[in-house]
Amino acid sequence: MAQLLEIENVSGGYNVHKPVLHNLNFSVGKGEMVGLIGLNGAGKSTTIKHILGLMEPTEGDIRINGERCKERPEAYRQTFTYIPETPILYDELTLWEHLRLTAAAYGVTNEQFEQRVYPLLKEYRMEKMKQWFPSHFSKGMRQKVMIMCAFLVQPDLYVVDEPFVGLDPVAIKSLLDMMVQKKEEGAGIIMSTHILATAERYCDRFILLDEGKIKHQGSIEQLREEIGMKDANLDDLYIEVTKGEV
Amino acid sequence: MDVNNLWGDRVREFWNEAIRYLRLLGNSGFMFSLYALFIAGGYFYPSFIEWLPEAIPVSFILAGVFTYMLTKCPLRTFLKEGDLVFLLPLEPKLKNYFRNSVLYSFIMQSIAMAIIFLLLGPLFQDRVNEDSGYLYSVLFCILVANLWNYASFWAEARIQTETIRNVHVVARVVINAGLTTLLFHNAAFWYPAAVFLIMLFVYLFYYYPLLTQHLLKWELLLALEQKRLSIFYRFVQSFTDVPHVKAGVKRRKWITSLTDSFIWKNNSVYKVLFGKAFIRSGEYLGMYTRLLVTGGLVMYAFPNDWFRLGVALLFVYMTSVQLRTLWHHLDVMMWPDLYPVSISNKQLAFRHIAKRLLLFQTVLLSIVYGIVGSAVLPGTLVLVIGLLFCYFYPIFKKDRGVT
Repeated sequence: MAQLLEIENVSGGYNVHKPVLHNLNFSVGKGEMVGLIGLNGAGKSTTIKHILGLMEPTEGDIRINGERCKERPEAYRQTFTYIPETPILYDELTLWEHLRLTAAAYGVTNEQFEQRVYPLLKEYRMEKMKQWFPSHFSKGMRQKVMIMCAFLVQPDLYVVDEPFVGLDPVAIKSLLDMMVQKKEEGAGIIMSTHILATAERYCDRFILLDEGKIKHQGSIEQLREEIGMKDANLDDLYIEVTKGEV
Repeated sequence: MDVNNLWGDRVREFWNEAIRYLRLLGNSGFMFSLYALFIAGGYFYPSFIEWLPEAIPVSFILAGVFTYMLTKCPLRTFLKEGDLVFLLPLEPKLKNYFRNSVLYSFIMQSIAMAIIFLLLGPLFQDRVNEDSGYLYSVLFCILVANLWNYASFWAEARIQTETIRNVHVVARVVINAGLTTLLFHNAAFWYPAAVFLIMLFVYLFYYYPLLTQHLLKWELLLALEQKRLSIFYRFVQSFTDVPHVKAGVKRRKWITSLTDSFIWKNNSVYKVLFGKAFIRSGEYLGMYTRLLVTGGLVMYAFPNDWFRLGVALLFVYMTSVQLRTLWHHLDVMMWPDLYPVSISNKQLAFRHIAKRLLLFQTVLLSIVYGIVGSAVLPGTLVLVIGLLFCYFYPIFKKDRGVT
């Protein structure tokens, strides 16, 4: 499988002497959904910030489609969209303007925009809120705006940080269906989440992160084998892995 | 924490902070300009009253001003966002807290009204009634009406539906307008007395029962409090940096529809972001308009054409300085860092928008000159120097390289 996101020997953090991430190695292939699993403070969000190019690794190399953020930032950023854990919206833009702005930023043509935007609004049942400002949105609606913006672009890679909190069940279903569809079309997805049952059903591989180190990675079968728990589900496996630490 | 001390603690907390800001204002030359304004005002006031044409309906204007102030009822409750969670269960015990708040707001508003009333006093005596006894009785009546408005407003604030609340506001406007019109037209004593009687009945038989029928609407109270607080901080912010000002967003429909084709042309992300921030967010448009109007008024007020030229250029320059703050509007936002758009686009877009705004202002001030000025040469210079300035002035020389 061709690799989309490659992370090699990456260490990094906010302080050179106190790295948060230690020597991470993993990759996300085309048509693959990878779950990033870890306790609060395990380094998931920091890992994601490094992938986004908001933080620079102190050591190691991060590439998406062979591009490095430092060398050609625009080409690098063109390859992915991001759904943040806490929705971040422009107070002074309406929902519709958020969508248009995202399209403009990623060079989505007008025809593509028209084609994609209405099904998205319908899917997340936000058609009536087109002209609303973010101050009138609930947490779930704000999250939906983030999701719609990310899927409007149809990039190669989706970086998704804990997307389910605050979403209603219908929207969660829509999001999962959409991720599966994009995956089948060849996109890569890296998703951090605490909802392990969902992750187990949908992700092809998992990266178990603990205190900034990768404890285990692989498919659910590989994890079971490595940890030595036959038939265990992801919840049990994860609790087993972190048990030693507590 | 004791509920009974809570109100006092909150007020003290606010004033401790406020006084520090106000002291800063005192040192910033603000007090000096206030003195200067007072002295200049005192000097020009009598001649202004003399000059004021008879045709201007002073009584109606005064009635309008005080109807507005009476109806508005700015309410300080000193509530904080967390109170929605932590104080909610204590609502029955908070009677004193809210009574103090309403009383405090009433006194503050009364002071403001008394100051404005006394400032307008000479005008009042010139045009309405010379007798200073009448002047003070009108002031007294207005303060009593203010108390009624606060009492009614406090009951009104318990109504959930905004449209119904607005109906009440309209009703109070009618009553207040009736009262002030009578007072400022020298109406015989029993007319205002009749209005006061109506007020009394309305309160006793309509507003007072409301107090027991409905619970407090905490979110509304909090919104009102935040509005008051942000007005104070916004005022302070024009002199110094205030860290926690939440600026509101306004839709501004007609400006949006006028500017949309310009803003979205060639799909420049930063042009959209700066443009929308300027139009809708906080103070940018207000600042721009205020400088434009003030510049125009100053040009109108001073008789010398060369002086007008200087004023026009000065105001264009002041606007350019103020516009620089717009550059930092996006600093806390993460998305622009993620967009596959070069940072140089940000500078281009910012310069593009800032120059258009300055050009527009130059043209408008030139038009103002065309109306109020007489000599052609200074007027042409306003336009020419202004245009050259807009074109060549490096709007963010100190921001260059800071990205």
